[in-house]
Amino acid sequence: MSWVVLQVMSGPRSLVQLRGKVKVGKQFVKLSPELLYNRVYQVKNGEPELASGEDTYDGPVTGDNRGFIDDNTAQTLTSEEIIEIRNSEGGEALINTLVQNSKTFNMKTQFSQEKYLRKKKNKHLALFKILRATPGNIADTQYSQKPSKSIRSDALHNLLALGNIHSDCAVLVYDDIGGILLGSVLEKTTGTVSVVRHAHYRDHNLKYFGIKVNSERISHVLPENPAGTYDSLIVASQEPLKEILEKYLPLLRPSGTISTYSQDLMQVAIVYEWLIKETLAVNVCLEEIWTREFQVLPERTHPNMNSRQGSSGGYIVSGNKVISEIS
Amino acid sequence: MQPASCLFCDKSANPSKTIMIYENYNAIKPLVLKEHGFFNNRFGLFHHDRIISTPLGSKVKEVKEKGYIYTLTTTPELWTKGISMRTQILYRADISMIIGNLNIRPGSIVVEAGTGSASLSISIIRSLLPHGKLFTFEFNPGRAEEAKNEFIQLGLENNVVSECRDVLENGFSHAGYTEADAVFLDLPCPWNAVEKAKEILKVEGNLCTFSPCIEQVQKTCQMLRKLDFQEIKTVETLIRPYQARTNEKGNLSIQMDAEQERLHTGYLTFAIK
Ligand SMILES: C[S@@+](CC[C@H](N)C(=O)[O-])C[C@H]1O[C@@H](n2cnc3c(N)ncnc32)[C@H](O)[C@@H]1O
Repeated sequence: MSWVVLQVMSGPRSLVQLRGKVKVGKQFVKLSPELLYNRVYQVKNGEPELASGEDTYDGPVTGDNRGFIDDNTAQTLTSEEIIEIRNSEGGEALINTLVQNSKTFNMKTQFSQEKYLRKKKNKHLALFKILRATPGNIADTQYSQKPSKSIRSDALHNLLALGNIHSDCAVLVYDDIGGILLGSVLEKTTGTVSVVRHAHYRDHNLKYFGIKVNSERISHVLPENPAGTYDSLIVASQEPLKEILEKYLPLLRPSGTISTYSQDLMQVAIVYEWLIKETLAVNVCLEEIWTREFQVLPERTHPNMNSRQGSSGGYIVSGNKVISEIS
Repeated sequence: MQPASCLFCDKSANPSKTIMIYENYNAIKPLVLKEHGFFNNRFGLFHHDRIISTPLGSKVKEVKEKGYIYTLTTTPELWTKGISMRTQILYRADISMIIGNLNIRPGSIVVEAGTGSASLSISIIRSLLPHGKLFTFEFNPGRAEEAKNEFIQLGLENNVVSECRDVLENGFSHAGYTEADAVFLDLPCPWNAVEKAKEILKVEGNLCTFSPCIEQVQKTCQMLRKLDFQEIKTVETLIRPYQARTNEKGNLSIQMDAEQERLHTGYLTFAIK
């Protein structure tokens, strides 16, 4: 059975299968293959139910909050009362009661009322959605849990582009991120892909791509393999990158692409200098991938502030291999 | 059918193929090889025959044996660097994000407008080989024609249909496909095109628009919400280049490479039908 990304609204993401029960906030919900992708569900008595639209307020900002005093006494219900109402009357009734018992709700501007309601709904209705397990979604989900064992999707997409990954390209993969890179390369190609099974090699993420670890499409590489076989050498590792390249660069054909990722700037910088100094490659480029998401609403457009991952997606060094003997 | 091997994997420099000539980091140009042909650049006069006799990735000298260039396999990344710009173009950071988030893969059917200088188009085609197809629309006849000729020169014509068309007026339908897996819009007013784009997108198909200004993005997002698109997400993505070299003290020094840095290109908005 295939895997999907479970996105708890303004909460964590995880990879799950569409069967059995999972926890959303404080409640459990039963998942099934009938669920629609990309739609918001709420949990009702342990069952998923399509939630009414997010009704984003599309108008201008009105009102102001001059009378607003933020002293944590705005809500007159205690947390015990809140749990009690949610259990006995359900999430929607609770939100209405919360609003009625909020001293400040009516003093809020229309969009901060909406923000308040959205927060309460996410929390008390246990809102969630399921997303396709695309390479980007798998990478971001794993990155949100263990950044050092994954790669953010923006960096992954750049790495694959710089690696010239496409259907009939002969790729040599060095994957230190649990199979996320290997899985992505397999998804973007059609033939066999060669992977280096090094000391830290793990491929537990492959299942999320719907790929079996013993797939016929995966073959094993040794440094003794014939030189110049591959069109692309693609690496994601936190290990000393230069040692990896020293071993495997000979297997890349002249004019093949080198594309390597690390979260350690020093590792990519060492490779950058080495490739240039020894003229092992041209078009050598060392870069940080920088991405920022925006909230876009009328008069309320700004960079998202809830992204805990920051703006840096890590570092990539890339280039095109050359032979320097002159013709 | 796709030829056995496409140009993005070429190992040898064969006559009539397009390869890339690398002079330096900021001077990379495509070259169509001809037997007995030659070309001139700041380093001197180069014979095509000398290039043809060596594998790609070689250092090749000019006739006086002083200046030299490197020959490289054409890749979309190099193509974008060496492109003849007929319009503003998209660069690799945005292109990677577009290909990745639209989840373009072997076999995808993709629709694009406007073609512009086909910088993005070439990357899209690479990702959907060998059996997928790009339908790219451009209302400027000259640009549509040039793009078409380039696709043929690069040997990609089996995987792309390039048509001169105003998509705001005539939409995206085409006899060559029924439903698109993904649609990409780089137009001045994308919000006026997303309703027509939705008509030809498959359910769960991906849409992306690119706009330099935030006011354009706001209009697009408002329209996407109205049309009940899901997972609407706007990002800005950039590349921050660095340089590294060993200094006099023998330490590796890493510095920002401000000259190569692009400070803003535009915003990418993604949505799912
Ligand atoms: C900025 S360029 C696209 C650049 C392209 N993404 C690239 O990377 O080379 C925008 C193009 O859209 C075309 N265009 C604008 N409005 C159009 C319309 N309604 N239908 C078709 N093409 C249109 C313009 O002529 C222009 O060539």
